[in-house]
Amino acid sequence: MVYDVAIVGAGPAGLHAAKWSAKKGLKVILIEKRKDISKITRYCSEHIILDEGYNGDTVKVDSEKGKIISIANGFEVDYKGGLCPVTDKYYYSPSRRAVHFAWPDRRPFAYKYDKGELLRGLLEECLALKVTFQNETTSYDASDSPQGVELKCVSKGKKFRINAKKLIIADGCNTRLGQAMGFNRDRGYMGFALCEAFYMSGVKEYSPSEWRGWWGRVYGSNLAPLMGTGPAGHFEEWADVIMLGSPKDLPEKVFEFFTKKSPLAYMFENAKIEEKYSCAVKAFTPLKTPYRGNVLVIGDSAAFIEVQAQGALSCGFRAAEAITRELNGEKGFAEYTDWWLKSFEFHAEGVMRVTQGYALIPTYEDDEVDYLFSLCEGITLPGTWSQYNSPKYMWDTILRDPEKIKRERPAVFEKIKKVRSMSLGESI
Amino acid sequence: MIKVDVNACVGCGGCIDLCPMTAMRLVNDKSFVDSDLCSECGTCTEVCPLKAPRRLE
Repeated sequence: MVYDVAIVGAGPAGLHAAKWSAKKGLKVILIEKRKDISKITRYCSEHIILDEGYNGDTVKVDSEKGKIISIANGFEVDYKGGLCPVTDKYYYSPSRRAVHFAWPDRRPFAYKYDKGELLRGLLEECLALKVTFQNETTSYDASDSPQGVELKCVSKGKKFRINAKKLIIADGCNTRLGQAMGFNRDRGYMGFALCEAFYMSGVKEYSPSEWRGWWGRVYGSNLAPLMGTGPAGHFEEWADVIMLGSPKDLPEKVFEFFTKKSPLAYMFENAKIEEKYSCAVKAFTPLKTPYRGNVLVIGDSAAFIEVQAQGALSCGFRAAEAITRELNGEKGFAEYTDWWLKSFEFHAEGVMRVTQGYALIPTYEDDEVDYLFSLCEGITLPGTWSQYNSPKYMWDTILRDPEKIKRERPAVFEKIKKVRSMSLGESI
Repeated sequence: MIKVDVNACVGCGGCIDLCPMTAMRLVNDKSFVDSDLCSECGTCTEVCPLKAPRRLE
């Protein structure tokens, strides 16, 4: 059996590519390492982001009809699971001075949703369209020739091969297959991050509509501990407490400190861990040419860390179109690449450097972070989820009067100048 | 040999992605080391956020 297209990874990108490839009449096999994809085990913040023009698209949610609607890419996805609006984002300094992001009319800038439910729905559609679902299988390498692709797979310890005319790699940010096929060779390696998330009941001052981050040595980490909306089914009762770290600085240890010894320990006095999730992420600079021969790399596999679920859905949708065109002898992959480079903000010149804005600790002492955040007090910044716009708005506000900083805190002024001249890798 | 402490593992699959020998898979939503394929290189013990894979002497 030779499939028209083999798709590796049944996340939002792979599932959407499978659905739309099958809808176009292609013979599709979808390969996935997990058994039940609706049961989320890897941590994911699970937000639909409503920022206008975010990654080349604007996404609307129609909760009455149960649809997620992509305006720019022109597709709809059925989604009837839970939705919790997020209206406020706060970044706090050690003395709890706050940088606040929100829209004046209180409209949400994101929804917490249920990723398992989204994936389950997409898989059902794929199966109805006769997609072959090869679960509990890892695809670890492939050879490509003008005749097609031969995929090497392993399932429950048994090795075997799958043949297809085209291959879509959608196996996520740690892309095993992309790595094996050499797609990471020309990408910059930015480091390895660990994340552990705790869904907790009984957290004081928890509000499901708020996303919060705390910067300062006093909180026990160079990377801000975060708190956001709990999972669908428990939006009101459970907080999502998120710790970032590295193999040297384990998130578990940060969690211990943050919840027991930091000034916020009082919030966790009566809290209980209900569920625990984690993820391990290799961060590469984005793939500029996400194809070669018969192979297209999409979604997180080609991204700087992540494209978010909505970006993944767009990638899958566009990839199905690209594969169909390639099978007809047209330049589908080149067209996909034009769209990929134009749409995702991490490709833009200088935009990645903006994320330096998050690297506050250990560069700045706690009282310096207090000072910097005090320059944002009384101002509500635009309601945004974007990891690039958030630090940009914050730093644009801090630096609106650089002479004032130079006068009041010359040492801080020098530090800002120094950080801004560093590369992204150096600062993070 | 390397074994996964199933009480510590949450099944995020990071070690499965990064194991150079494809020796790991999910069994009942927890990581499992297939000792026939494992080279005992220790990658899984390094990359796990929860330190669930452990080297047994």
